[in-house]
Amino acid sequence: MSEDNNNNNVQVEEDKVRIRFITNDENIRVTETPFGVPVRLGRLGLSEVVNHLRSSDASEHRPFDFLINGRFVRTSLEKHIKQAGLSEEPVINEKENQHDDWISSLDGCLSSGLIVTGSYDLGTRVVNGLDGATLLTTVGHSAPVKSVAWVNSQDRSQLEYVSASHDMTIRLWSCNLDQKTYKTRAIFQEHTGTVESVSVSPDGSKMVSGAMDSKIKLWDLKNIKSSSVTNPTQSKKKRKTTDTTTTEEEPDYLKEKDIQTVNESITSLEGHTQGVLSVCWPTQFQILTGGMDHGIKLWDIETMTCTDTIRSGGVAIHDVTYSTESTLIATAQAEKTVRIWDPRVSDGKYNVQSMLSHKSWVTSIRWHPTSQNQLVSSSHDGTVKFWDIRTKIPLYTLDKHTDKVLCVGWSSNSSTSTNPSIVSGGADSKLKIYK
Amino acid sequence: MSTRKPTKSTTTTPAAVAATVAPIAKKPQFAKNSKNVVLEEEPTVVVKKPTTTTTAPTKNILGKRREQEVVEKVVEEELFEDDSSDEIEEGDDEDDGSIDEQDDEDDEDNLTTGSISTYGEQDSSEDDDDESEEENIEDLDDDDGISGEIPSKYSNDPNQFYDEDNSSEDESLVNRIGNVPLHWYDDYDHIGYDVDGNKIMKGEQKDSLDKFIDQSDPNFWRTVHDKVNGKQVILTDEELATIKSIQRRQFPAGFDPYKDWYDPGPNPDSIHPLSAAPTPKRSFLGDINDERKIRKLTIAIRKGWIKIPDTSNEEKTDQDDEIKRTKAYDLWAPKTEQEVEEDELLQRTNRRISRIPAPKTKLPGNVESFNPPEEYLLTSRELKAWHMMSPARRPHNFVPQKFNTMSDIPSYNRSIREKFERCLDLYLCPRVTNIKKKPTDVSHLLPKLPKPQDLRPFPTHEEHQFNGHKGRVRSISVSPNGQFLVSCAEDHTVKIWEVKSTRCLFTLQLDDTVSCVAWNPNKSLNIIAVAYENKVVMITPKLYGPVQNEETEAMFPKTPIPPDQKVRWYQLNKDNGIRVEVEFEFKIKQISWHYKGDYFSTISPDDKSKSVRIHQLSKRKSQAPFKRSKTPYQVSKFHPSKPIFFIADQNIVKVYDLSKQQLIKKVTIGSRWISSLDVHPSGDHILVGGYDKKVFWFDLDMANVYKVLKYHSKAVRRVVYHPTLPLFSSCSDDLSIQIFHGTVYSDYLQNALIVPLKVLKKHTASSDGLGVLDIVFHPTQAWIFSAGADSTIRLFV
Repeated sequence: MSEDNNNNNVQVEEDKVRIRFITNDENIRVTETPFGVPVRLGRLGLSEVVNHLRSSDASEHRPFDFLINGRFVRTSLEKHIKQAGLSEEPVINEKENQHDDWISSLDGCLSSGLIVTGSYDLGTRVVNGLDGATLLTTVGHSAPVKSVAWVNSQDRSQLEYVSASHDMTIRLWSCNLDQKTYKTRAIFQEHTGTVESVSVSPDGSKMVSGAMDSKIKLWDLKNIKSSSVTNPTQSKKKRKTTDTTTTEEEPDYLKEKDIQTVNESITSLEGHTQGVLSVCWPTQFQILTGGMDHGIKLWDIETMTCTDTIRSGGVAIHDVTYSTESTLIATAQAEKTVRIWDPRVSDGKYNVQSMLSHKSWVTSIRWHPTSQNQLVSSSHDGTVKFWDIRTKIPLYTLDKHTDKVLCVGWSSNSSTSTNPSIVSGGADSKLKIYK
Repeated sequence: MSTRKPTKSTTTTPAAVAATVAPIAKKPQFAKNSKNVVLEEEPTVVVKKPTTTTTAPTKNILGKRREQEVVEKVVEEELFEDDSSDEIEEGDDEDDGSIDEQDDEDDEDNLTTGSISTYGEQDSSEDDDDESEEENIEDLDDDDGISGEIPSKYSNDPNQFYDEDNSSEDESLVNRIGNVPLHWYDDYDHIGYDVDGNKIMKGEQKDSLDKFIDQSDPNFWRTVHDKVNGKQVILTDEELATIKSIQRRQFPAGFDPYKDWYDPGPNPDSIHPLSAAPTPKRSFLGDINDERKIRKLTIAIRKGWIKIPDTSNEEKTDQDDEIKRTKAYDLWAPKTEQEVEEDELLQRTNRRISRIPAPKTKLPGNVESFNPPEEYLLTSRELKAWHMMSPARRPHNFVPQKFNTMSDIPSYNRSIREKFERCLDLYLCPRVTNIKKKPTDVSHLLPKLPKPQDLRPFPTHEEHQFNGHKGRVRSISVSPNGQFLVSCAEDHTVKIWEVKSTRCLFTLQLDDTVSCVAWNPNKSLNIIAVAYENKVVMITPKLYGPVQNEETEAMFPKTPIPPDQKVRWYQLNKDNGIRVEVEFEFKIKQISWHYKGDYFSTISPDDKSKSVRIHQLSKRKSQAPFKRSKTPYQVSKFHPSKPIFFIADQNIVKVYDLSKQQLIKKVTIGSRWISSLDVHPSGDHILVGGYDKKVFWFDLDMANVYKVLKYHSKAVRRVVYHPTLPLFSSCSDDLSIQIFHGTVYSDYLQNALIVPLKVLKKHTASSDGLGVLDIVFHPTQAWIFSAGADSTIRLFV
């Protein structure tokens, strides 16, 4: 008995086609996540794929029939696509948001569809992930913003996010989208080097930051203690203004009221020997950091110690991300390959997979929020690549940026669809959202 | 063989014997004489014996026998005129006296010698006669001494005056049946007829036992059965030689191919074709007319009137391919000019063949004396040992002997041999010359360097470009934590870049050409020194916000500037970050920071007397403690960890101890114009690059330069060490950056290991010929930044 399946072609990439099996029959249903199959497969090949997906038991294998857009697949997929004139161009809706300067980082929220971005123009923006419109722009930092992270993005009137900047501070922002107001709720100032990365715990109570002074600091977000002593540099500056002629004014942030300057972190984790470029807080008690000393470190929050160090073979690590579903770590490094690591491997050979497709340094990498096999990476060569770790070739490449892509993330596609959209920002000052 | 004399007869003339071996037809005159001689000399008498049927030849050597038999045969003829025997040997007596050579042959035939075939003209062998005759003579020979009849001087033989012809044409014995199959005579008792018509009877058949007995005969191996004549022929030596030469397709034995041939000329006189006139001289010399012509031609060629056409091509087409290919070298041609020159060159240079002098002969000593002291004489044991030893091992190749008187001294029988050996030494001594070994396998000479793959990490490829400058980028410097890069260019700008993202964070516009930037190596200070024209400015870039940290601010105190300095310090606090300006009289070329960040040195080569100055930033003091040098100072560097200061002028590097304020060392590098200098983090090695394309690694513990690296094709602009990794690099105007590995071992015994790793040639050529102007390593990673005249800064990873 042959069954029918529906296929959806999305994009051709390197002799592979991304397909998705959809069927109405429950008995033969297989996973609906898209993956790549070679174009030379025909009906038999696709049958085999489906059979394998269903079960590995050879006795249960049955031949299948396939429909693509209502037409039976009778030849190889390649020929079918050609004959049917199916578009091989990505059926991707792209939204763009123009910033003023390079976008250094972004964080998307799946539930609310809001994206917060940090930029070299010293400010942060909140962007609507659905249509790409800028909702809010904040200023406050005195140096380029390197990292942003959502704290609370559910309540439109009380959005909270943190931003880390070159001025060695992290700011906690609180915005009201309806009123289009924002303010800095707190400034976390303890780092002695530029803060490169910040990440918020899943419950939103704490955050961790990593800086070029090779320290990782934990901060409490809920109970913000302010220090009574004002900024020592601030006071010095006041003295200076009397002595020498200076055109420098007092920064704006000092003039604002009820800003709390936090000078104490919960703790400082030391272990990296060079600057920490990336921090990630996947589960409640685990922190993942990557630094320029070529090491990935796993920290346990309860004990505040480093549980594991993975030496990544001599290359500085730009970004780390963790998949809670597959417990795999993916790193973006100062090289062209994307590497997958398994921290649970006991024999020391952590590197599960390395995927080479980018032509320049990989700047940022993010796991798919729901799938355990998919991730998206961005690189200095201007491309964003979508990978499935089961294959070494990216499923597709988004080549829409004209300059280096510095950050990438996920956002929700629409309120109904479960497929998240990819967001990327780069040196061309554009924020692009792909559906 | 021809000189051997028969045992019985006294002599046989050589002529007679020569006749036996004569290849050409004998000459009648000789024959006559020989015959006579033979006759005269013949004393012996041969007695015939009854014939037997054995055909075994005698045991004597054939030649000898033959002579005997020749003789004996002649005797026979003379003595036994009656043919009592069955054999028709004496047929020639009945002849008409024809001067037939063949008759002579009959007379002189040896019974045992015979020709293999009937045609053997040149063979000196003769046909076999009847066996009985042979046997008779054999037996007689065996007796070895025949005396008896005295031969008469003359015989009735008409052929007596003719030479014995031992040719194979013996008529009496030659089977005259013609070219007829021999099996026709199978049923008969005769095998043919001789020339007279007499039957030649078959010999007794040999059975296997006889044949077996024959094998013991020493001449068995050269005995051949002549079927036609029914004879066993023992081949003589000459016959064997002839056979061999025939088999080898050579000339038959005795044939002289090089015999002089007198060409009688194109028109010999038919009446007198031969003459005994001696060959005229003109037949050896060339034709006078020809020589005249040749003389004229040579003169014409020398003067250039005639050009010799190059006939080599034509010749080649005519000849075979093989000859074409092998161009023969004319050994006897006079030396060409080129060869003469080469000879002269060889004579002048050391490449001439080394003349090994002949080994000197030992002068005679006491051993060679005819009356040596007793101790030199050999005892019996020694004598035995001397005999046992091989001649080469003996101390002297003679036995010392003692004679009482001079007349007792015998002749030295080894004298000729010794002279011969001396001659061998003189002209055949193997000359051992130093033949340069061909460089077949020089890989063992190369040092065993590790492969570049093993020495990773090092920069291998270009990763980023920092684009933004519009003029030649003169100088770059990296922040101590490796996060930022500062660069200055000829568009009068100073730019600060973020390394990770290649973003240009700051641009500082100045009003003059900027020559050098240097980032303060102190990590807590955020100061950049910029040299432009005759000023040095200290900048505190607002990388971390508007406010600088404490330590940085401490460098710029508000205390008053010490007055009365040639170098004027200005305290500023500008918006663009300039805090201090130091004004000099002359242009500043280079700045170098002390590792702690307070002191820095400047070089202004135009300032003749005080070109090198050391300044203290926090106190804003300047001093110029260094003497003038012969050549202008080029570059100065502080030691990375010790209070040592290096300054280099064009040829010499001076090492100063700052705490003691003394000159430690003065190093003459072999460079004609030093361009750059860098100090190894350990402080014991310095790297010097020169405009003469060389890079020198100098170990301060050693007296001489440790390594000279000549990898660049143009002037070397900069050499740098990596602060943490064992790498160093050099860049040059040939647009290449060479990356080397350089490990320094902590034990003082091992020299540094230098391995060339990579050549990075990515900068593009600029019109002015300048290439890569500055390189700097990242402080922690294996990355290198390079600044080029193509106004780009590149990061190699």
